Amino acid sequence: MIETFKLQKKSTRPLILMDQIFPGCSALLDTGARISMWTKSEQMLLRLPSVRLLKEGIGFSGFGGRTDGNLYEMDLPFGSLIYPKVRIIQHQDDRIPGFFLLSASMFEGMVYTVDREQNRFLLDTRNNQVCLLQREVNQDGELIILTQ
Amino acid sequence: MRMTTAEMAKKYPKKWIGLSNVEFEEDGANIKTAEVTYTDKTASELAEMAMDGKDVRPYFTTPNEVFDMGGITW
Repeated sequence: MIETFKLQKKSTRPLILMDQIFPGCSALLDTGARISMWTKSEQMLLRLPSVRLLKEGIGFSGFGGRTDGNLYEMDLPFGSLIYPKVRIIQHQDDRIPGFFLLSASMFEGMVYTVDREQNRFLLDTRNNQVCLLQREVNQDGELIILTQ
Repeated sequence: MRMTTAEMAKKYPKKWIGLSNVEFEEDGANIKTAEVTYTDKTASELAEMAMDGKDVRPYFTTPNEVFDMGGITW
Protein backbone atom coordinates (compact mmCIF):
# COMPACT_ATOMS: atom_id res chain seq x y z
CA MET A 1 0.00 0.00 0.00
CA ILE A 2 1.40 3.38 -0.95
CA GLU A 3 0.29 6.52 0.83
CA THR A 4 1.15 9.98 -0.47
CA PHE A 5 1.30 13.08 1.69
CA LYS A 6 1.96 16.67 0.74
CA LEU A 7 4.96 18.48 2.19
CA GLN A 8 5.01 22.16 3.06
CA LYS A 9 6.94 23.71 0.18
CA LYS A 10 8.64 26.46 2.16
CA SER A 11 10.17 24.16 4.76
CA THR A 12 13.58 22.70 3.94
CA ARG A 13 12.88 19.98 6.50
CA PRO A 14 10.10 17.50 5.65
CA LEU A 15 6.95 19.02 7.16
CA ILE A 16 4.07 16.67 6.39
CA LEU A 17 0.64 18.25 6.06
CA MET A 18 -1.96 16.31 8.10
CA ASP A 19 -5.25 18.13 7.63
CA GLN A 20 -7.23 14.98 8.37
CA ILE A 21 -6.54 15.52 12.07
CA PHE A 22 -7.50 19.20 11.99
CA PRO A 23 -6.97 21.96 9.41
CA GLY A 24 -3.37 23.16 9.62
CA CYS A 25 -2.07 20.12 11.49
CA SER A 26 1.44 19.14 10.44
CA ALA A 27 4.23 16.79 11.41
CA LEU A 28 7.96 17.28 11.17
CA LEU A 29 9.61 14.07 10.03
CA ASP A 30 12.56 13.42 12.32
CA THR A 31 14.54 10.46 11.07
CA GLY A 32 16.91 10.88 14.00
CA ALA A 33 14.17 10.34 16.58
CA ARG A 34 13.23 7.02 18.15
CA ILE A 35 9.88 8.07 19.51
CA SER A 36 7.27 10.42 18.17
CA MET A 37 6.24 13.57 19.94
CA TRP A 38 3.37 15.99 20.29
CA THR A 39 4.98 19.42 20.53
CA LYS A 40 2.08 21.57 21.66
CA SER A 41 -0.14 21.77 24.74
CA GLU A 42 -1.39 18.82 26.70
CA GLN A 43 -4.86 20.35 26.63
CA MET A 44 -4.88 20.28 22.84
CA LEU A 45 -3.47 16.74 22.68
CA LEU A 46 -6.26 15.52 24.95
CA ARG A 47 -8.82 16.84 22.46
CA LEU A 48 -7.61 14.35 19.88
CA PRO A 49 -9.45 11.04 19.85
CA SER A 50 -8.28 8.03 21.87
CA VAL A 51 -5.49 9.82 23.74
CA ARG A 52 -4.55 8.31 27.10
CA LEU A 53 -1.90 9.37 29.60
CA LEU A 54 0.50 6.56 30.46
CA LYS A 55 3.16 8.21 32.58
CA GLU A 56 4.19 11.70 33.61
CA GLY A 57 7.75 12.98 33.83
CA ILE A 58 9.46 10.79 31.22
CA GLY A 59 13.02 11.92 30.55
CA PHE A 60 14.22 12.14 26.98
CA SER A 61 17.26 13.61 25.31
CA GLY A 62 18.46 15.14 22.07
CA PHE A 63 21.02 17.63 20.84
CA GLY A 64 19.58 20.25 23.13
CA GLY A 65 20.24 18.10 26.16
CA ARG A 66 17.80 16.33 28.37
CA THR A 67 14.27 17.31 29.30
CA ASP A 68 11.01 15.82 30.50
CA GLY A 69 7.67 15.14 28.93
CA ASN A 70 4.53 13.11 29.53
CA LEU A 71 4.03 9.79 27.79
CA TYR A 72 0.74 9.23 26.05
CA GLU A 73 -0.79 6.54 23.94
CA MET A 74 -3.10 7.28 21.01
CA ASP A 75 -4.55 5.78 17.86
CA LEU A 76 -2.79 7.98 15.32
CA PRO A 77 -4.42 8.38 11.91
CA PHE A 78 -1.87 8.86 9.16
CA GLY A 79 -3.58 9.24 5.82
CA SER A 80 -5.72 6.15 5.45
CA LEU A 81 -3.47 4.27 7.85
CA ILE A 82 -3.97 3.91 11.56
CA TYR A 83 -1.29 3.36 14.15
CA PRO A 84 -3.12 1.86 17.13
CA LYS A 85 -1.82 2.67 20.59
CA VAL A 86 1.25 4.52 19.38
CA ARG A 87 3.41 5.93 22.16
CA ILE A 88 3.96 9.63 21.96
CA ILE A 89 5.72 12.07 24.28
CA GLN A 90 4.07 15.42 24.92
CA HIS A 91 6.46 18.32 25.39
CA GLN A 92 5.35 21.82 24.48
CA ASP A 93 7.67 23.87 22.29
CA ASP A 94 6.09 26.45 19.99
CA ARG A 95 9.41 26.91 18.18
CA ILE A 96 8.84 23.58 16.47
CA PRO A 97 7.08 24.33 13.18
CA GLY A 98 4.84 21.26 13.36
CA PHE A 99 2.41 19.77 15.84
CA PHE A 100 3.91 16.30 15.77
CA LEU A 101 7.46 15.07 15.42
CA LEU A 102 7.24 11.69 13.71
CA SER A 103 10.07 9.32 14.41
CA ALA A 104 11.72 7.05 11.88
CA SER A 105 10.67 4.09 14.02
CA MET A 106 7.11 4.57 12.77
CA PHE A 107 8.27 3.47 9.34
CA GLU A 108 10.27 0.41 10.31
CA GLY A 109 9.98 -2.24 7.61
CA MET A 110 8.61 0.24 5.09
CA VAL A 111 10.02 2.30 2.27
CA TYR A 112 9.64 6.04 2.59
CA THR A 113 10.61 8.69 0.12
CA VAL A 114 10.95 12.41 0.65
CA ASP A 115 10.39 13.89 -2.80
CA ARG A 116 11.47 17.51 -2.76
CA GLU A 117 10.83 18.00 -6.46
CA GLN A 118 7.14 17.41 -6.11
CA ASN A 119 6.96 18.15 -2.38
CA ARG A 120 5.60 14.75 -1.41
CA PHE A 121 6.22 12.18 1.25
CA LEU A 122 5.56 8.68 -0.07
CA LEU A 123 5.14 5.76 2.24
CA ASP A 124 5.15 2.21 0.88
CA THR A 125 4.02 -0.02 3.72
CA ARG A 126 5.13 -3.11 1.73
CA ASN A 127 1.86 -4.79 2.64
CA ASN A 128 -1.84 -4.04 2.47
CA GLN A 129 -2.40 -3.58 6.17
CA VAL A 130 -4.33 -0.52 7.26
CA CYS A 131 -3.38 -0.85 10.92
CA LEU A 132 0.30 -0.68 11.67
CA LEU A 133 2.05 -1.38 14.92
CA GLN A 134 4.95 0.76 15.92
CA ARG A 135 7.70 -1.30 17.43
CA GLU A 136 10.47 0.09 19.57
CA VAL A 137 13.15 -2.48 20.30
CA ASN A 138 16.90 -2.37 20.75
CA GLN A 139 19.37 -4.76 19.15
CA ASP A 140 18.72 -7.28 21.91
CA GLY A 141 15.04 -7.29 21.09
CA GLU A 142 14.13 -5.52 24.31
CA LEU A 143 11.42 -2.92 24.46
CA ILE A 144 13.12 0.40 25.04
CA ILE A 145 10.26 2.77 25.76
CA LEU A 146 9.31 3.50 29.37
CA THR A 147 12.73 3.32 30.95
CA GLN A 148 11.58 4.90 34.19
CA MET B 1 -5.83 41.52 5.31
CA ARG B 2 -5.02 39.02 2.56
CA MET B 3 -1.34 38.19 2.21
CA THR B 4 0.93 35.73 0.45
CA THR B 5 3.00 33.39 2.59
CA ALA B 6 6.10 35.40 1.71
CA GLU B 7 4.41 38.55 3.05
CA MET B 8 3.35 36.71 6.18
CA ALA B 9 6.93 35.56 6.78
CA LYS B 10 8.24 39.08 6.40
CA LYS B 11 5.65 40.76 8.60
CA TYR B 12 5.31 38.01 11.24
CA PRO B 13 8.61 36.09 11.33
CA LYS B 14 8.98 33.08 13.65
CA LYS B 15 5.35 33.21 14.64
CA TRP B 16 2.25 31.08 14.73
CA ILE B 17 -0.61 32.95 13.10
CA GLY B 18 -4.23 32.11 12.37
CA LEU B 19 -5.38 32.16 8.76
CA SER B 20 -8.87 32.31 7.31
CA ASN B 21 -10.38 32.20 3.85
CA VAL B 22 -7.35 30.32 2.58
CA GLU B 23 -6.52 30.16 -1.11
CA PHE B 24 -4.49 27.05 -1.87
CA GLU B 25 -1.97 26.43 -4.59
CA GLU B 26 -2.76 23.93 -7.34
CA ASP B 27 -1.63 21.05 -5.14
CA GLY B 28 -4.56 21.75 -2.85
CA ALA B 29 -2.38 21.67 0.24
CA ASN B 30 0.14 24.50 0.24
CA ILE B 31 -1.12 27.99 0.95
CA LYS B 32 -1.02 30.66 -1.75
CA THR B 33 -2.76 33.52 0.05
CA ALA B 34 -4.95 33.91 3.11
CA GLU B 35 -6.42 36.44 5.44
CA VAL B 36 -4.38 36.79 8.60
CA THR B 37 -6.96 36.86 11.35
CA TYR B 38 -4.96 36.05 14.48
CA THR B 39 -1.44 37.05 15.47
CA ASP B 40 -1.75 36.82 19.24
CA LYS B 41 -2.58 33.16 19.80
CA THR B 42 -0.43 30.12 20.52
CA ALA B 43 -0.34 27.21 18.11
CA SER B 44 -2.49 25.20 20.52
CA GLU B 45 -5.10 27.93 20.83
CA LEU B 46 -5.33 28.18 17.05
CA ALA B 47 -5.55 24.39 16.72
CA GLU B 48 -8.40 24.25 19.23
CA MET B 49 -10.28 26.86 17.22
CA ALA B 50 -9.72 24.80 14.07
CA MET B 51 -10.99 21.67 15.84
CA ASP B 52 -14.05 23.62 16.96
CA GLY B 53 -14.92 24.12 13.31
CA LYS B 54 -14.00 27.79 13.06
CA ASP B 55 -12.43 29.06 9.85
CA VAL B 56 -8.98 29.27 11.39
CA ARG B 57 -5.89 27.45 10.21
CA PRO B 58 -2.74 27.55 12.36
CA TYR B 59 0.32 28.40 10.31
CA PHE B 60 3.96 28.88 11.25
CA THR B 61 5.45 31.62 9.12
CA THR B 62 9.17 30.77 8.96
CA PRO B 63 9.79 27.04 9.44
CA ASN B 64 13.42 27.33 8.38
CA GLU B 65 14.39 29.94 10.97
CA VAL B 66 13.71 28.05 14.17
CA PHE B 67 14.46 24.83 16.02
CA ASP B 68 17.98 24.73 14.68
CA MET B 69 19.06 21.25 15.61
CA GLY B 70 22.34 20.73 13.88
CA GLY B 71 22.72 24.44 13.20
CA ILE B 72 26.07 26.07 13.92
CA THR B 73 27.16 29.53 14.92
CA TRP B 74 30.48 31.13 14.20
